[in-house]
Amino acid sequence: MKKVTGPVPPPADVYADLVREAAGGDPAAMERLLTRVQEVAWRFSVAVCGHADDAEDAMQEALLKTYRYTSSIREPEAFRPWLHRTVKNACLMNRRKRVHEPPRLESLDQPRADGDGATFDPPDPRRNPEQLVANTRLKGRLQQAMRGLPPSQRAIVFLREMQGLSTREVAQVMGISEDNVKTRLSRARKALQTALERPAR
Amino acid sequence: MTTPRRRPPVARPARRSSAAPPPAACAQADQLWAYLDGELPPARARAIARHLAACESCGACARRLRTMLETCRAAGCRKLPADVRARARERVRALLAAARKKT
Repeated sequence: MKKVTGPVPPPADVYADLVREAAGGDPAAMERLLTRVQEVAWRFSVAVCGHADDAEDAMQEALLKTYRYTSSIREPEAFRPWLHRTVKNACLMNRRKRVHEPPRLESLDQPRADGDGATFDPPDPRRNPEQLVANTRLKGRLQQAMRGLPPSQRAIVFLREMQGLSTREVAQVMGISEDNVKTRLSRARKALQTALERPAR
Repeated sequence: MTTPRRRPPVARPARRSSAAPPPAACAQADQLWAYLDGELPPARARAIARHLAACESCGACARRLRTMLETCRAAGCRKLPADVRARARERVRALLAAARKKT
């Protein structure tokens, strides 16, 4: 019988310590923080909004607001939801500006002309080749499945499953109740599960 | 919440009326998600773990959900393209240099 492993812990909140150090005047921490917030903005733009073209605007917004906000921050633990709310709002603003354009989701696997084909960190690089092939297939299916979700569910999957925010934090970012987050996440998970396990055509 | 003795922590798989069950037919998937999310009280989580180890169907279902969760986690660590990364770094340097000049 195959071993059933335990719970999957969410990614740790790496921001709180970084924010404390940056606010305390550590220039290296500030540089790391400002780089990291732009990475989050890019990932959100691509995975949720589906517009890589808008990502740079969202990155700029996240950078400037973080720089201004960090020096006056009182609760470093509240930074993570604040950042994601800022990024979400920046992406929405960009969408409103370009509302006439058709939506397009960039491939999560698409190799780029600059040779940076490794767009994804595999969950475990020690896995065998069969598992890596299976992972690649799953990545493609996840991208397809994300496309099929309503935008709010896509955002919730990104925040909860991909970024590891708690239900409470997701509720703060989305401006909805925790029960509402749970309901939408449950629907999204079912849809993703069905899509990921559907036999390949 | 009831104890595992009175009610199995995860329900048995639904009766299969046809040869191939639907791929997403995880019984009580919400319970499994709560377990994988680490949101259950320790005693309940232990009961679920015991059940998953003993029940082939629920164990397989838990592994499928776990794979999905790990795929999502990996997507959340997606690397930025080299040109985007370079522009991000440049923006940071420019901002910090401008701030230093002001002080």
